[in-house]
Amino acid sequence: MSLTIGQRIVLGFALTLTLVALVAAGGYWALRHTTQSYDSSLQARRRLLAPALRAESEIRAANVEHLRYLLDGGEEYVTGKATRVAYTKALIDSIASAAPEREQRPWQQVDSLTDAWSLAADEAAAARRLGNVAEANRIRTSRVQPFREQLDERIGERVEWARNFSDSVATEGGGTSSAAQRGLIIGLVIALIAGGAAAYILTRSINGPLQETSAVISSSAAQILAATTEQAAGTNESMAAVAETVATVDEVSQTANQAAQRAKAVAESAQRSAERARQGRKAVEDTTIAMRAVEGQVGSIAESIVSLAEQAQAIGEIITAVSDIAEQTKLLALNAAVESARAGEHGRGFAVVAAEIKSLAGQAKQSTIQVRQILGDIQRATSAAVMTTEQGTKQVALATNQMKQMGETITGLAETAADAAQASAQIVASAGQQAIGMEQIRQAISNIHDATQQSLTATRQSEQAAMDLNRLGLRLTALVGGKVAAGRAYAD
Amino acid sequence: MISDANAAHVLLERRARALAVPLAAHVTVQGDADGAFSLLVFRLSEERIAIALDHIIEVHRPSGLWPIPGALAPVVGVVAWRGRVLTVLDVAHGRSGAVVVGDSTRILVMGDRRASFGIVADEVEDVLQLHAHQIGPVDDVAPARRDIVRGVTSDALIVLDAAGLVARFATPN
Repeated sequence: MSLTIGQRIVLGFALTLTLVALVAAGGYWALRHTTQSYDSSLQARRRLLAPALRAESEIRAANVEHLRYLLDGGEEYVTGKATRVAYTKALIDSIASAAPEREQRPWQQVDSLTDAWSLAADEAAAARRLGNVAEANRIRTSRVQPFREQLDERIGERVEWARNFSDSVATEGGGTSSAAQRGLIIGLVIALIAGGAAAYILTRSINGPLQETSAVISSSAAQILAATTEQAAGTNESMAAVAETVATVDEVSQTANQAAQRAKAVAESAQRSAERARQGRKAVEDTTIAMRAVEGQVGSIAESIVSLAEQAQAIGEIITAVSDIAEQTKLLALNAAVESARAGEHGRGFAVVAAEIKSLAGQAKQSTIQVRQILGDIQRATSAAVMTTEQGTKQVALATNQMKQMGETITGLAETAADAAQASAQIVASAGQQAIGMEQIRQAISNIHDATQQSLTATRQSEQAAMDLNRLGLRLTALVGGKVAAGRAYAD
Repeated sequence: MISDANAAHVLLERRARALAVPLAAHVTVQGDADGAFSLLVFRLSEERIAIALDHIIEVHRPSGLWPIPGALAPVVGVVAWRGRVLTVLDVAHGRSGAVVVGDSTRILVMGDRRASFGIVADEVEDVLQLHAHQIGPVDDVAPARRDIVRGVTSDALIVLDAAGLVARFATPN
């Protein structure tokens, strides 16, 4: 159970006070009980023993009065005797009423014996009054004296009882007083032991944690002192850094202004680029339309050239036929020449014709060769034209595709330029905001500088407070009897 | 480089005189009255060859030439001519490989009065009139061919001995 020091002190004092209170209560009880015992003893003596002794005395006095009457015959003795008997009976009644119940019967017997003695005495007195002394002596001897002896014995027993009773009450009170004394001594010893134990435990329970606490306070104070010292150094560095940051912020602010100006220039350039891009896109669209027209025309040219190639092929076939005819003609001319030669002189004229025919055939052959060469040139040119046309078609298609891509590129470029213009405008706006922000940052850093200065002051105050706390911890450690750790005495 | 036209003419004339050698004694020329006779000029292999028209029956355009296995040179095969089978000779010198029949390939059907054999020609060029003095001796011709060659002209035209060929390769009737 964890208790605070105040609670522990209160608990220790409460325990001690409780023990003291118990001892005092015991003493009070014993004293009261002793007082009561003595009171009871005194009451017993006053109510029992004193009346018993008085009654015994009164009975003896009444007997004396009776004996005087018997001797002198004075009536005053009879009256004295009656008064004393009455007084004795009153005493007996008071004793009987005050005595314990078990003593009431003996006292009633005493009362009965008193009555019997008084009656016998009266009879003796009556005899004396009559002058019968002998009778009176006989009655006294035979009746009054036995009753007198019994009564004395009974009263003596009761007086002894009352004495013993009062003594026993007094003895009881004395025993109670001794017990109370012993109890008080024991209680005092216990209280002293308990108080010492409580003081020891209280001291230990308070002093131990207090020592630890003071040690912790001293250590913590030393650590706080070191930390505050480092913090002070760090705050100095922070101030230097803040100063550098202020300079940097100024440079950045200037850079931001330059960036804003350049962004403005870029925005204007981007707008011009966007305008050029729109013009370029228009030119590309016109070029695309023109390229499509060229593509159609090239297609027509290709069809024409293909038709021309087919016709050239037909011409080649015709030339082949003509060449074959020329070859056949040449062969016929040769055979005609052979026949004319075999005909001798008669065939000379025919040989001339055959030579002419052969010459014509040769010319025709030569012409067909030339035509074939020309036709070959035409076919090669046609093929080249076809290939060129196909390449042109492909190039036109490629150019159209490239123009399309160029258009898309220019469109994208225009969009990019527009985006760039917009972004540049945003950059201009952002640069303005950045300049404002940099000014705010500069102001904030100035505030940070002031706050750092204040923090430095506060840190120094904290350092001083930590030194005071360290000193206080050392003092507290010395007060609680702890040992001061080495290196903690910063305050001194 | 000859710059002067007269100098060139003189040079050509000297060359012509140097080439104008007398005709060989064994060569018989059967020509016209003015001594000119007609020759059919054809090209065979790398040579230009001429043969007199007197012994040519026909210049034939063959549809094919079928070689004869085991035949000895100059026989190279046979052709079909007007329902007959004619033996075809190759008078070229040192031809390597078989004769290839092309569009310009012709068969000169030879014979005295009746076709006897054929001579293959890669291409028939022309009919040429020559005089006997234009034909030189056969000294430059290979010895194995001298019995079928009549002579060689100044422009390296080999003139075959048509009568000798017919006499040698004509088949009996």
